[in-house]
Amino acid sequence: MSTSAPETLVTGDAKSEGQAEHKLLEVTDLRTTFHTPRGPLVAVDGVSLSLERGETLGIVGESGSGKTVLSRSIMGLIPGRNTQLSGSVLFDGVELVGAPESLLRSIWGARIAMVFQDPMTSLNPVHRIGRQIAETLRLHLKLSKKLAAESAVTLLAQVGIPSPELRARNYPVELSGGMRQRVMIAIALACGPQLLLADEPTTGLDVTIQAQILDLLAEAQSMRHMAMIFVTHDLGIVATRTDQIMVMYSGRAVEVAPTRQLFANVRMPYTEALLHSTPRIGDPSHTRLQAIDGRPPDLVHRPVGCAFAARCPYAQEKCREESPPLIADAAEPDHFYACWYPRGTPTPAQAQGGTSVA
Amino acid sequence: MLNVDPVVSDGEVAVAAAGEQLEILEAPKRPLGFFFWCCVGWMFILAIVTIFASFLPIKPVGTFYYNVGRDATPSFAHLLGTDELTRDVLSRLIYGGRVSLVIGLAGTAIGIGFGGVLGMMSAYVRGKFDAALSFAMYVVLAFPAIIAVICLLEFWGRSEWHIIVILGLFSVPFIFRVVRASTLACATKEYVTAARSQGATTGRVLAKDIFPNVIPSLIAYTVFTFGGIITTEGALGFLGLSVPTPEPSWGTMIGEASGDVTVTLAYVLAPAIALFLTLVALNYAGEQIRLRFDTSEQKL
Repeated sequence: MSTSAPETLVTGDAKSEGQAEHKLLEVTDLRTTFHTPRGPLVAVDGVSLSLERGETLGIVGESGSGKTVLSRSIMGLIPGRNTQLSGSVLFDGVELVGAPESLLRSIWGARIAMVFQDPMTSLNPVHRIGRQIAETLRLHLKLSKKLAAESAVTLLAQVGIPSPELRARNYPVELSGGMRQRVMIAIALACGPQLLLADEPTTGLDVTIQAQILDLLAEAQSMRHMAMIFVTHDLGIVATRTDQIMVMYSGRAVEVAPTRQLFANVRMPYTEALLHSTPRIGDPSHTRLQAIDGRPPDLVHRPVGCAFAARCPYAQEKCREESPPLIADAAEPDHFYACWYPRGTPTPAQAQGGTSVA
Repeated sequence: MLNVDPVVSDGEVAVAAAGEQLEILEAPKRPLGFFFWCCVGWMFILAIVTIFASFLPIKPVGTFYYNVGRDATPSFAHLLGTDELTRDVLSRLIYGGRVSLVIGLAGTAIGIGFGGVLGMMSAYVRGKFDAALSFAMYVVLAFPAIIAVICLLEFWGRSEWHIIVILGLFSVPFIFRVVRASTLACATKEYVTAARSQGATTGRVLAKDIFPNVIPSLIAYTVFTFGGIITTEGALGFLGLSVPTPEPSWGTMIGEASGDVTVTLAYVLAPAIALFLTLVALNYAGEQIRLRFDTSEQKL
């Protein structure tokens, strides 16, 4: 497994080129630009990643960091006008960027599926849920109406919905949020996709339901040997359920590492700040959470140096002048970060205390 | 399987009988009510009577009954009396209803057809096409419709088909606006993106995901337009600008009889009441049907 910026691809690619079989997903230098009246807005800026079959990648970042746009760009599911996609997305050896819509449509729902953030709006209110699941089956697997309806009931049972044959006749309004998200998952799993993109699938749900949905996804994944990209802003969720984590900030990958390594050895100050802003159960009560001051930068007028410099307590002169590339850690070759002065390696400048901007 | 979150929703009752499996009853359908069926009944009677007018045991519509006299009061032979030209009011009422309803139906069909298709396209395609079309519709809306209709009819000639086309086209902007707004509202919803992410084509998304969501407001507006066209035709008839004489329409009849209401009370009231009942029936029944198909949250 290797994830790298284009500049540092050399080592990563040399290994994978020898393999006869390609990876399930190989994204190289993906860039999504929205042409807004204010100028081009680069929402995803040169992100590269790769994913093997059955693996889980967590994409973490705060609102507006480009996580959702990235997951939709991988699928090619972005609003057509005023949007430009460049780079490469190889899915099972097939290039998706610039592919004709008919090819994408044959892959969407059948081989790559998506679970959306808000189960309240992602089901069509006017159709019975059984029919909504059956639609996908009939479209891609060309099942007969009767067989599709029966499969829909089986799928509902698989995602843990009681009395599935009765439930299939319900409209979305008649179900609770957690139930609706189960239905969304059933739709996504219907055709047995190889890759599941879960875009903050638990954000709109009760905390008690979140764990159930996560367990359900994990179970489905292991049963089907399906790869999954899990987009979230909650580090706690990805910590136990992913193989690899990518931290995004202002459209770029700022730290990528296998989950264990990331939590054992945080290098990028932004990741550290994210971790500190998560409440911990061991903390004494009334412990103040450390919020990250300021806001993410304007993506139309990107700052010259590191995008996080203005909010980073360790920022130096160099950080504001030059953008750091994503480089591999000297000790851990799988651990990548984009930072001039990473945490864990005391630099002379840092020893002096570092000028805090915040 | 995984544990299950409790199912609680207002529309249904979960009954757990001892030792039996959990049974979920279907949500009870919203009752339509007695008045709804009265409205449907009235529309049904109206449809039957006007369609089969020539088979009904009523007096022929073009005949003059000089022996009965002008403005005769209702009698057994002439249930609603006669008009100032000694024609039978009941048969004119029925044949007039035929004209009014045909103009209403055909005009609405034109309005729904053009307004609906253009509205959905406009909202889904967006961009310059939408801007140009919306502007054109606002221009038509800004026109004082009744004056424009009068001018066009004078210029083009008064015939049933001209009235249908003109009134139909003038109802397009209203339907266009409503359909465009509802399409816009649901084209940005996540379930449209979700449908696309499942591999649905644009046509499929429009037909299966967006159109069913537009139907409730379309029904409401169809009924509204239908009523509006009948009323406008009535206004034209009252001004003597509807279908040329001697063909009756409800508006024309009210207009003709309005000269001396003290003498021609039955003659004025009959078409006015028919028009009133029809509009009430249409609006009430339309609203009930819209509510019946409304699967949004407000129902709960």
